Amino acid sequence: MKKIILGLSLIFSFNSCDYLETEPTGNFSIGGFYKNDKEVESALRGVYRALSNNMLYGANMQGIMGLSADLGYESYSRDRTTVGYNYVFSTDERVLSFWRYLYIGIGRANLLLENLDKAPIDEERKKTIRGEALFLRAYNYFMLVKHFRRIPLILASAKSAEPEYTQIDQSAPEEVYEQIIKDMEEAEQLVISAEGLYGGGQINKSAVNGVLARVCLTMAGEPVNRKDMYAKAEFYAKRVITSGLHELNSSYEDIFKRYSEDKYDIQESIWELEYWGDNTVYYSAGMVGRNTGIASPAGSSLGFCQGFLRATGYLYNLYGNGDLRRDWCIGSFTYHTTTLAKQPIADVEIWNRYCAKFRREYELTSPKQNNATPINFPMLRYADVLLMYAEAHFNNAEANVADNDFAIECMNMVRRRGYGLDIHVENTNVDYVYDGLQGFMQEIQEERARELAFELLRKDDLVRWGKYYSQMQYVKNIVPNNYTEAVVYFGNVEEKGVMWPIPSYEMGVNRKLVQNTGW
Amino acid sequence: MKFNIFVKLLQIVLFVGAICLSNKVFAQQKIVKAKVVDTSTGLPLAGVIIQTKGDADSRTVSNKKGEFTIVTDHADILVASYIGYESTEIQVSTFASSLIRLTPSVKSLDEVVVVAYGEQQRKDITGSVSAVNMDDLTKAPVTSFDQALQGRVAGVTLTSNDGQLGEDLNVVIRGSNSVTQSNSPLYVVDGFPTEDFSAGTVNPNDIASISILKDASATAIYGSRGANGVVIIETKSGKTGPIKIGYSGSAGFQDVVKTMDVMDPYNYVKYMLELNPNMSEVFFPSGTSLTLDDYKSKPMIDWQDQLFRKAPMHNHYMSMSGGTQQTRYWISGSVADQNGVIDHSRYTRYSGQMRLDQRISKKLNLDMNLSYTSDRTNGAVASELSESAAQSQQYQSYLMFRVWSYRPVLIDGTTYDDMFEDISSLSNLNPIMSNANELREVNRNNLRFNAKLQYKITPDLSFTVRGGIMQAQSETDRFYNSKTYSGFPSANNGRGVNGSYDIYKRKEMLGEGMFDYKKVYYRDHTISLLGGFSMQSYDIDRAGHTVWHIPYEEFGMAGLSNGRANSIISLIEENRLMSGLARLNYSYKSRYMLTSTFRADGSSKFAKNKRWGYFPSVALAWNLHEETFMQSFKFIDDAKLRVSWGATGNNRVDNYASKGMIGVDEFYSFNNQTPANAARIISLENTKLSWETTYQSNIGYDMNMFNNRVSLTLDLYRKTSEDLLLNADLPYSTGLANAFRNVGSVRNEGLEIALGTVNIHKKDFRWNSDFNISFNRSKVLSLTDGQEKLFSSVRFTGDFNSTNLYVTEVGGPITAFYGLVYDGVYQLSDFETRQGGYTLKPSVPANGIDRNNIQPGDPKFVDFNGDGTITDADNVPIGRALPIHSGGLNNNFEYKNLSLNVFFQWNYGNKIMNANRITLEGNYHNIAINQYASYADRWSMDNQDSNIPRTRAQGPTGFYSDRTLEDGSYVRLKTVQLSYNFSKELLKTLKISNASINIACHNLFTWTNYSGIDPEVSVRNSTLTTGFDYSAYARNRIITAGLKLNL
Repeated sequence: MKKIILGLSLIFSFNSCDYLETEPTGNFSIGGFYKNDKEVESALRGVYRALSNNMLYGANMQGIMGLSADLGYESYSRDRTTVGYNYVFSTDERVLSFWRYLYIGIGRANLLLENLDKAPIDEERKKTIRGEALFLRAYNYFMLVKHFRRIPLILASAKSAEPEYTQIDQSAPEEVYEQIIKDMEEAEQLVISAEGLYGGGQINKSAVNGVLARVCLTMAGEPVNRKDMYAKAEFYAKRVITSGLHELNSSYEDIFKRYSEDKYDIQESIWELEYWGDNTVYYSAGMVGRNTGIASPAGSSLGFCQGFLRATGYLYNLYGNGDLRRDWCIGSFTYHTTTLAKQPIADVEIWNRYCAKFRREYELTSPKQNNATPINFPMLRYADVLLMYAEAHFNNAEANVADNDFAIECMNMVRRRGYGLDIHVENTNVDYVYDGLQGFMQEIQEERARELAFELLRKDDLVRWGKYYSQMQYVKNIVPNNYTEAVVYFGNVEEKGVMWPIPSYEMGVNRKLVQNTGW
Repeated sequence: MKFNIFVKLLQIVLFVGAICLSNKVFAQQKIVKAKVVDTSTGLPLAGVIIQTKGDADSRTVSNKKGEFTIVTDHADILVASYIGYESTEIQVSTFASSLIRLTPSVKSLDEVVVVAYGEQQRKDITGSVSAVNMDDLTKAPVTSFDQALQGRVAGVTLTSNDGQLGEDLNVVIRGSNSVTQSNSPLYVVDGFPTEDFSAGTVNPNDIASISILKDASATAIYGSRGANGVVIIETKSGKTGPIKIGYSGSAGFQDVVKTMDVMDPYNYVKYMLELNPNMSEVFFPSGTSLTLDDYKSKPMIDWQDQLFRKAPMHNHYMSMSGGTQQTRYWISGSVADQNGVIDHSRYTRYSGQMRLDQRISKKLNLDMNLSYTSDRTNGAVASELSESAAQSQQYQSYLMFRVWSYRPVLIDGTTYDDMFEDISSLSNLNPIMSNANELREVNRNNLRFNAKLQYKITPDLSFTVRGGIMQAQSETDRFYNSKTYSGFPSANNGRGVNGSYDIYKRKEMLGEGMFDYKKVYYRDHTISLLGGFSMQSYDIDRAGHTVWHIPYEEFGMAGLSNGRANSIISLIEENRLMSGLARLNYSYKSRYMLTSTFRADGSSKFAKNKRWGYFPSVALAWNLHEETFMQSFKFIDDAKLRVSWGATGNNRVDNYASKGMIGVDEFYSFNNQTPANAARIISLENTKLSWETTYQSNIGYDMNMFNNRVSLTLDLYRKTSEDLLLNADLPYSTGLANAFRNVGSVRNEGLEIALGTVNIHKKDFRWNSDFNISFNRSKVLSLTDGQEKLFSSVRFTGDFNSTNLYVTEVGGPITAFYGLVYDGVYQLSDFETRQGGYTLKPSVPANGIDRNNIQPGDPKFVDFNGDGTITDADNVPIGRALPIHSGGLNNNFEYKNLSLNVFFQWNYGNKIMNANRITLEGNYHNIAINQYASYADRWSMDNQDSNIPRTRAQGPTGFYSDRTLEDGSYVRLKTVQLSYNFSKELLKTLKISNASINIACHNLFTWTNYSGIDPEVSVRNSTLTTGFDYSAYARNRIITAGLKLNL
């Protein structure tokens, strides 16, 4: 009996609390994270990674979400009932993932921003990390507000899953834009300069200024129509130009070959999302050049390309004779399915050509994975900044007239480069001469199409110009009937398509949400 | 005088017995004269049938004084059987008394039932406890007991995904409490409680008893883990006596009960041409004069015939047991080998069990139990999704889909071999070839060791220490070479030839100490007390890797090292539980009884200050027949009323569910440097996370009538689960998808009726029936934060993966089907004819696509919100997902040496989403595949009465509708066993004490309106997503011949 009692008391002698105390292995607890450089840097990389995820720029946005609008249409009949064909439903999985991953990035940024202060790391680095996280969070909101308009604006991490952190009202688009601009302006003060940067992977002052210009231009257009923002747009674009750090790459095609070759060019490519390897060891590759590009067979030395996106005849015809950008943006050949030889396409065949901006052919590593590419994606190019400057300047009621010539010169530099000319030498055959705001706007809209086709800006541009539906209808009417996929793609466009519906999943779990009108 | 005779008789029997034990048995005729009495009352029993085992001719019946005389051999065994009593066997050689005591049988209240931490006489039980009749259960020719359990016990529901080999069934007792977490009961195997139990690890022949604890009085002593009910399994132990050797074995085959009819060559080609007129070149190659009608005479290839086979199986089981007063032992071993009906699938199992009861001293007893099981499952999972396909094509990656949809005819100029090896593209990849080339092998090992040391401190008080360990290991090998769907080099296949290896190890350890006190005070007051503590730990360890682009596929799994490592898994987790428990049983004259239990549990899974939960219960029972006023109801033998209330808990959440976690398993690269880890948020902290508590009330009534010929048990219960542990859906705007929270409340109410009857009890013919039926109704009382509806979807194929197929509504059942209401197809009358085309009338709503594209014969849905088209808003609840009632009817017939067991089982009132019909009776992506035969009747200009959409029908994608929702009610003839006991003459020469042969059938026949393969299906089974059918295959029909021998 005594022995038993002894045994019993032995068993109970160690503290019961210790026995029940278990710590997760393989993961950090939130409270125990951000305690050194390594952890804080990985938290920052997490924010970048969310944006580069395959649900966003990594794959879905590449050709299969209708973002190239009138310039390229999806041709992959199995996708006909998806957003890739402008067939939009509130249950569309890509639309839901788009929403989801942008908010994942926001959540990561929020948590990092809150914990940064207590992190025992170098103060200078802390400053730039804060800037990068602030900018990326704002950029994610920019993407959300453009596509869903009224969205919950969440600027602090959820402390728990209690309703106060989950049931959140939508904010008016204008309010979201104000926050975006506020955060980006703060970020601009914190991040490093582009000067001396090896590549455009890290958020730098030029990237922030350039994107700020884009945000302000967007806010000035539909649906917010804050015309006063043109001034700000002009200001920020000009800041990039006058920094003296940037210059157009003299060769248009070299810009895109460099993405494939993993070479950087901070002068032209101010901000890019970085992809690496082929996902076999580290999951950090994307599908740029795999989804869109000139179709090539699986397992081939070129690397597999699905070729989801075909350029429209409308885009083809926008290019003037001698514009070198045409045959880089739009494939003038196809690869033979077995020999891989380049087979030229008949000149008249202009509605069936592949979007060819990103080409796996130039990837340096081998063998190439079918479904993973290391090709970086341009988020902001200097050419875009120049064009935005011109557009903002002429729309800015308060603009300094003395800058008119400079603004036109900015636009013309881009044009000259497109024709392979010296960008700084006037050329009457190529140069645009200002002919009033209306004519200018027509020209800038077409110039942006020529220069920035398939860089996922087109739909947003058309929407802010208030031209999305009419332009899609215009192209719909010129699509030859025998291009079935294009007919379906344009046929599905509806007026409410300027925005996507709030995903029905989200509506079900956040009961404060109100659906977008028309959806 | 009489006494003297008995003494002499006794001496003779003892003498003979001694000879028998020391020498070889020799036959010698003997007259046995004895009296049969009731064990408990000591009263004589008249009409007891006594016979020599295996010899029906020797029967005799006891007289009014319970006396009988029988002439027998010394070596014989006498069997005494009586209605309402356990049959008793008497070894003549060792029979040393003139009394045969019969114990009331299963149907009687004196039966001993295993309950939590001990056993009790049925008459003293206050809770709701069902004992499974193991005799009946083991008549089914199955390898694990769960496959035969459905319909056997009121209130216990078993569901399985489909007929997959080696797969455990999902057991739910009295309806699901938990909305998102597991509802499987707690299993207590030889005293070892575990949530992770695989029925395949215990051989049904080794099981002595299965008790199912249902109400809170019975389960609350398991506290935080008792809310889902408890299944107590006790394995057999040896009995004092000479060595006994038993063998039972069976051999037979399995085949499929049903295959689907697919379109024949003519209808297939006709459809292909309608789908795509360009295909005419394929079917009518230039240079031939083939016409469509020629395909009427072309032989059809039914690929199901190629996939399915009549698969042989055999099982063998052997046991050896015996013992002395000091030592008792039971040793058994078994082999099961079962080929699956799907080619290349197989299940093999080896198991061994050893049990030793050793009396160390008068006060000290040791009981040890060791069991080991090793099994292997080979073969593809028919309803498994392969990730190699593009999202929108995932529905094509399932085995059965590909078998059904594959081209049923040879095209001119090709041979069967061409077609078999046609790997030109994924959708043309021959499913039979793919299946034959896939490797999927699961090897499981399971070890269980239990030791119990019992020390009797005083005659009334004992202390028991128990320790145990359970170790489970499961290894999965997968290898897909270039002739498989997953490894085939196609545009979407980024993996090439690929394979994976995964190992999962689980270790559970238990230590407990228990005081047990029992004393009778003043003759009528019986008090028993139990008190103790328990500690349990649970560790899991998982590791694995997936390898892509394996260059030398001929090496198989050994070639994984040559490929490129894709993902590496390593996971280590643990949880701990610490408990104290107590129980009081009080009985006054076995007439009024009280049971009260209490348990405190602390679990590491929950937030620090929310770790401890307290679970009380109380129950009262009243044996009415002991009362004088009941004496006038002579026909009532026993009657008992039971009332109970108690609280139980549920802790089925992730091991670190209350912790906020950050993982660093993503990667990002700057400036082309080797990618470095990127952090992601895994979960939010929940400092309030605690138990889910279920309060259950139960009223029960047990009655035995007409000399125990009729026994009835009624139970009425209501259980309310509060603070549900819900893996709540979060708005994605939080950056996360789910979080564990204690929110919501669910109520289950039900009625269970079990009726046992002895219909006929004649000397040569006996017929017993057992019937049970249970009704359960669930109702959601509240969900997350005033949320009115909770939607659930199943992973099936890209277009549908995020479509809500189930809805859980406050005030409604825990889950119900949700979708569009099908309104037939658009008929010509819905259109205006314009320029030779059809334009939908403005008054007729569109079906979700552009109304200009809608044509006659396209699917039409009810536009509930009247907005003129079909959107999400038109989804409504479309049918019950859970049955209204289910039950079983078991019949045992005995005629002389023959006995027949016939068991029916049913489910009534639930629906099934037959998603097969979305792709195979409508082809929603309009690709070139074959369809079910029913699709030949689709709508066309010549067949306008049809409700099945036309060829190339256009409708919204990713919507479920009630077109494919079907009644899932069924009645199944589950088990039939016919056995014959050999007569003793024959056996005597073979020196076998008894032997029987049997023929057993399982899943023999099913009556149902369900058009799919099998109504017992749920391929994405969870509480909220039950009854979904896609690419499932049928439960096998098993027919075996068996032999049982006892030496």
